[in-house]
Amino acid sequence: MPVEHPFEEDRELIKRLKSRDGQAMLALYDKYGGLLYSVIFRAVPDRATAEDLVQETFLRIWNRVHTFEEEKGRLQGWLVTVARNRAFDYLRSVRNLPIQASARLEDLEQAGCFANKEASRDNPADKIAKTAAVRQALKGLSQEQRQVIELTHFEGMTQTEISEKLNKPLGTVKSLVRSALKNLRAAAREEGVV
Amino acid sequence: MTDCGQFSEDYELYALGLLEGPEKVAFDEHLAAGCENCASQINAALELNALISSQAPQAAPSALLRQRISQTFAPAPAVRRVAKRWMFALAVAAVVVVALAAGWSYEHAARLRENAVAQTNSAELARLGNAFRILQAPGVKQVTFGPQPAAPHGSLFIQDRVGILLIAAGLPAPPPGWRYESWIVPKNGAPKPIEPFQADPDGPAMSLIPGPLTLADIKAIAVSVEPPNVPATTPTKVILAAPLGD
Repeated sequence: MPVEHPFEEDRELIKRLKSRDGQAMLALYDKYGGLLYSVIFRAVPDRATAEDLVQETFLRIWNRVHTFEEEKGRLQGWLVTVARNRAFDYLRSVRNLPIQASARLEDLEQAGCFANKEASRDNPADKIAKTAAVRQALKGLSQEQRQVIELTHFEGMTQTEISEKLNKPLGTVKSLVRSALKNLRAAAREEGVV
Repeated sequence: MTDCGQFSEDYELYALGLLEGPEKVAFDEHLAAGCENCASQINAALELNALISSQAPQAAPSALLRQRISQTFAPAPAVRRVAKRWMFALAVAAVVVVALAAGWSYEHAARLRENAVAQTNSAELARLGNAFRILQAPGVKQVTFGPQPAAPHGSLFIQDRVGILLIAAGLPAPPPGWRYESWIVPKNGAPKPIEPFQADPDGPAMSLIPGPLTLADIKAIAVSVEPPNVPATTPTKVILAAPLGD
């Protein structure tokens, strides 16, 4: 029995989205809506707001899908990035923080940034291995390291904001962030994630 | 160009939009100078960031969100479904009325209705909608054929812009696996296949010849039976030929 290839399925979805098939958007939601909601809800733990942001995320995906190269793109990475950035934009706006960073973020949201040079390796087993490797690497961080990563990656806080929130010197926070990322990067590379 | 090494620990923060101050300014300038290595590293950082973000605790949105997404991106099917339901009901009713008007028995009309109701797939609904459009078209002309009840008999409803609707009963049952096929028989040239269709033995059947049509060029509408898995190019066995009349 042939194993369904999620990457193939994603390619087909992207093709349908590019041909402006609204039903494909619903299929995309059915496949990734839960994940994107989880990412946004972790940053904005208010159900109604999070749902609004998910809807805005899907609008953004709809408007930018033409930039996606289905032959070499990694769909999930792109979707999560769009969702997370949407949540971060919202948090910056409610915190009355400058959102000029978003301009560059929008550039980085371009689907072409998620080109997969080794698309053939992106099979279900690899996907599970990557997720497990990152989860394991996160568990391996010290409590302080994990705390700063949660604040950067899940709550969109800059190092200065983290410094204020945790009442720690900026240098200490930078050091924690960098060491945490170094560990995550190394673990990810060991597993061939990046 | 500045050395890439000084940015090697900033890729993920930069990709998150969280790098700030002089470090961000320096990195922006470096990237603006066209460093391909750093651009590639940022792509890898985006991937790692996405994997980290994907570790967020699982949460479930309300069912309403799916409805909102559906209404935003795929509202047409819901609208079409309602329209199709009406079209379906109207088409079934109209075909039955026409069948009775054509002098068929109530049993035949009832069977036609049952067939139509049983065919609930969207393609059949579309066919019924088209049949209804022909019946309702201005200037539609009815031509009956085969007055003998034991032989194929029925009506053609003809409207040059919308098309021709063939309703026929008494069609002999085709061999197992064979199908009915409708044809346009032109005054000059070879018959042209229109569509395969099914019917119960002795039951009423319906075929649509979509318009616009040049009626002056058409001699008759024919029905044949065709073997399975063979494309219709010439009629295999003609069982009915209904002239269009004057």
